[in-house]
Amino acid sequence: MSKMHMSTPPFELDGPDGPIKARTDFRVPEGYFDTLPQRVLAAIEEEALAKEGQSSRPGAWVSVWGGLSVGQRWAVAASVVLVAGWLGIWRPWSGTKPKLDDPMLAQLTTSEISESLDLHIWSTGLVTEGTDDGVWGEPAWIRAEDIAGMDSLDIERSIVNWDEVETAEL
Amino acid sequence: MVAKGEDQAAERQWERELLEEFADPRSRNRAFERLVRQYQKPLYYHIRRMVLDHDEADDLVQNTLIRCYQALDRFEARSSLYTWLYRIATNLCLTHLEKKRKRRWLSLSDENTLREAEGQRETPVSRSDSPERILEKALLTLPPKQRLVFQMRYYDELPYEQMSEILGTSTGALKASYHWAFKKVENYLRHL
Repeated sequence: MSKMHMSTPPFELDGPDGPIKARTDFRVPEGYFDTLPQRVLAAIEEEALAKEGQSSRPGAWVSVWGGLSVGQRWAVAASVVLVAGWLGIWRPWSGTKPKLDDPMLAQLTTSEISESLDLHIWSTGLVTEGTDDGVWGEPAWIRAEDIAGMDSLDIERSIVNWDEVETAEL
Repeated sequence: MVAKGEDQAAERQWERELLEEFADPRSRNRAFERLVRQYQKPLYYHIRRMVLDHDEADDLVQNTLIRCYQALDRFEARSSLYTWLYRIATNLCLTHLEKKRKRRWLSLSDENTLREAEGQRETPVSRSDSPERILEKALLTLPPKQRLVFQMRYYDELPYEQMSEILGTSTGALKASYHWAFKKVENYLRHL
């Protein structure tokens, strides 16, 4: 369309014959309007069934979770932890307390249990590492059979000869 | 428009009866079928003039009627039923055209759109073409909303008040929009 060329328009929009009629000669498939109401009702029913199916699926909960913002999800998670803790299901901050439900251990005193643990450590040699550093001299580990009847102070004295240490400095 | 020539009071009476019938679950679908048969053609041609392609128009007509069915219980009859349907259809059309434009990176003034819709290669418009065809091509050079205002006023002869209800725009803005659209089309015709 040339902008330079202007001529009398082929017709007037508001001419004496009235407005130009809108096109109605669009090609429409035969029977289109006859079947449209039924097709629309069928589509409505299909959509209603699809919505019912979606709401009953477990996935609906996933979509609910997915609809939450990040902050909301954290709030939900924190609430679950608090409720679980209150119900006594899980207390991560309480540390682990061994449950002495063993009938044999339940009959022993605390000191007896403690001694048994010390013996266990020594007999397995678990405490040999890091002790041979020359500060205290070569350790004289007391064997389990040697400490029968000795208390802890005696055991310590047998390891270090304090008299020798004191006199050595002088 | 369907209501052209009909007494407005009679039209409202017909709508009231239809809504009562629709409210009853036993007669709901029958009432809706009556509604569709009453308004399907003007709705279809209104949409078809906007999108030009039959398949697209079919989708939009169905979507319009489905939404009508889902919301008809809440229709408060502040406007006529047809105005309400027209508004739904118009909004769906505009949304559809905008998505299409972004998707295809085509200007809606591109006459290739018309050629595709007609499924045939057409020669550029000439003075020997029918006035209807020339005018339709002239309207394709307008932005979608302005084209819509022109069609509603020029073709459908809707009062500005009704157009305002449908488009949610003031009558003053609509008058100005129509005035400019009219001038643009006249200019197009002079340069043909």
